[in-house]
Amino acid sequence: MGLRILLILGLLVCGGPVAAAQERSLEYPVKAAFLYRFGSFVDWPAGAFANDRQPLLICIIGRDPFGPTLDRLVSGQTVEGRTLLVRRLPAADPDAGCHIAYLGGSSSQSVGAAAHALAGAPVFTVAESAAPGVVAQFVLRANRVRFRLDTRAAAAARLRISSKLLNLAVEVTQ
Amino acid sequence: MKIWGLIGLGALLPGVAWAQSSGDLTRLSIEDLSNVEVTSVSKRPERLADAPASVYVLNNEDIRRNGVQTVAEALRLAPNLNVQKVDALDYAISARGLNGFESANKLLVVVDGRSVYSPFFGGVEWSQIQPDLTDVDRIEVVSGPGGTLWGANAVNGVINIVTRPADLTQGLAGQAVAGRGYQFYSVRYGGAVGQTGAYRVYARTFDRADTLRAGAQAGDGWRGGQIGFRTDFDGQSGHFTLQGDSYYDHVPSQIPANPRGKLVGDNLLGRWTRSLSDKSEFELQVYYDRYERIARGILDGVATYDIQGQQRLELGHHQLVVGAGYRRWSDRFENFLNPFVLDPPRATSDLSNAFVQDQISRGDVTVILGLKAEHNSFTGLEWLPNARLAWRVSDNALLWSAVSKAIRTPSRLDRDLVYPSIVARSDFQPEKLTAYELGYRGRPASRISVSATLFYHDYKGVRSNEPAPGTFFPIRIGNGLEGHTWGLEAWGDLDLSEAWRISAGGTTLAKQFQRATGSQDISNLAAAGHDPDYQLLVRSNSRLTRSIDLDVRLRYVGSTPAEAVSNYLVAPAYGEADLRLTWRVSDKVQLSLAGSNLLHDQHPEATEPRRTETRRNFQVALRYGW
Repeated sequence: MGLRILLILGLLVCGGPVAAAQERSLEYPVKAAFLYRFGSFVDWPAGAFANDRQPLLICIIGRDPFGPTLDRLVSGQTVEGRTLLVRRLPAADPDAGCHIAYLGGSSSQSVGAAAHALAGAPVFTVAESAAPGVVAQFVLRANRVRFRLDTRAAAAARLRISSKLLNLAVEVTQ
Repeated sequence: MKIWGLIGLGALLPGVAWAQSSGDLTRLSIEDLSNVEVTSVSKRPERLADAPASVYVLNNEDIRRNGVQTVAEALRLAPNLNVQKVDALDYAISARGLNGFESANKLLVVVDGRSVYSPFFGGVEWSQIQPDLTDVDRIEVVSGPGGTLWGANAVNGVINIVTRPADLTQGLAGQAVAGRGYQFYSVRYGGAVGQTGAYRVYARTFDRADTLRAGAQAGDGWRGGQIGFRTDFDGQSGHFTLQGDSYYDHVPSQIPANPRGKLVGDNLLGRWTRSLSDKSEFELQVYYDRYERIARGILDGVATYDIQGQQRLELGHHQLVVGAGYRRWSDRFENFLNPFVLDPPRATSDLSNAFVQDQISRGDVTVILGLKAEHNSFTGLEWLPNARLAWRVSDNALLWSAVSKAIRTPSRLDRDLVYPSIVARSDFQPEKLTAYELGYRGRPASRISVSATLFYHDYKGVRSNEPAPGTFFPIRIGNGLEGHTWGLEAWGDLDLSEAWRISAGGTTLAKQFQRATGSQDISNLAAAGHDPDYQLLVRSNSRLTRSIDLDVRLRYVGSTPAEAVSNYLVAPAYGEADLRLTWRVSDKVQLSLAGSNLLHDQHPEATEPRRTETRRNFQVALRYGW
């Protein structure tokens, strides 16, 4: 059955150990799709992009649960006319130019520490657990991937989140 | 994911729910992404590309971008349906032929698990189907028999309308639409209930002016309103949904003594889904639905109670679904125009069923075998088998075939219609279909998706009007017609860029019906309906700038002949164009300007003598939060 699911998804072929372990679940492919899709509902402050053509940079900081799934998903996609780039970083770096950052955490830098390191930078931070400074937190509700939003963290990062995204959030912290 | 959508199509078409259009995750809107069930085993999500049936899915964006306000108009977007507008109130809609207001009685329509096919008169009253399209997640259009799971009356097709769960429709949304002779306003509000629940409420009102018949006002204008709600809860013991609607419409009665007609109705539905393990899931659904109508010179009303349950199980290579259901309805009928009556004028009928379906997957081959036993109070027990075979030729191509039996059960009108000394009650039996289908679905290139289906339908025992031997009167409704149809359904999408998609589709239909041995049908094969030989649809959905969308639709429908029934009218072949320009003022507000049926001042679509003409129209729409 495993192979069949791989074919069906057309996303996870050669998906590596993480994807193989999750081959029965769409959880991470869906989260990966959310990750870049968030970009359509966020306005970054002036200066976050050098120009209209600069790609939108998605960073995976620490543990990477997506594997090649994310790269396959974003290839050829654009968000508001910008192409998408994926970078993987061992630890948070406020000067790396990330626009969206998934904080996977690692033994050397926890999710909270990564969020703290990015404090003040215009980065839409996404994590699996709540931590001060994390803008969006994935949660599972009724077997679906949903998210919480922290508008205070967004304001600190000088991000404007569209009301459509706020409406879709299961919970908005102010 | 919407539970009952999966109940219906689920086992037959495991993936429709997941695959909103034809693509993968990148094609889903953010709401759709929020609605993907991620770890379901028994309802494993698959792509539409894996569905072994002829199914076309309209998603929320298709509906939104094409500016349609009613289900019937939305169905014009599905290439596998023929839509004939009869007048301001009525439509005739069918898949694979036999269309017409009287003859389109073989298409099953389900709204969030509630059947809106009337077992009372046999058919669908499109004017009664008014879900809030703002919150419709998708409309799945299956042409061909619905297989084991849908049961009786899913003969030529199934339409499954699924609304979004309440947690995906939060906040305020509304729209105001005005066009020539047409106004529509709706508002919806959604909020949370505790940590794991959500609700929405909505209200809508509309006003449609008379359409034109031979240049004069047809007296068919109507107006009305509807309110409704939906709540969804997740608890320890599963997912609960409770939803309901209530409507009141003013329609012309066509009764000279009392010209004010009405259409009133309510429904309430509850559903409980529980995963017993990661390989087993149970669902139970109950609903109540009633309506009363005074229109077209007739008073009729039906109250329906329905309960159904099903269990899904995964055992090795097998995915089993077993289920059962029971429906009971009471009806009344009074005729103010002529001596046709129902005998008895009030009756209670029931329908019960039990089914089992097994989906066996081995490598690239999937076999689906199903059997349903259905018992109706008119003719007793019927068996409905269904076999489907799907072969995944490559990552990008699926070949499938199916052989199915389907029936249309007798309606009260078929059995109990009486015109003293002219027409007598009948012992009408189910109409039977054996269908053979062969289909291909694939993505021959990364930007192209295609579906094509060849079908052959063999009908037996189709409704006829049989005179009494020797005396001619009384006439009785009989099963005297037989015939076959065959044709091709094909459609595809081409993504020219991220911002521009072209969709095209069409159908061809050949039809041959005759009287069976012993039949003297005097209706001249009326039940075979009136169908064009072919139709073609093309649409272009494009994003011109960051805030401006341009959507264009073209359709060409072949001539719809009317030779079968005296005094019916030919609907000549016609081509029409619709155009819509949308300005997204902000992420909450959008303004659109649309023109429909732009190529002609007016044109007829149906063949009924009372038909009116569809006119060129312009409308302006303001939307908030949708």
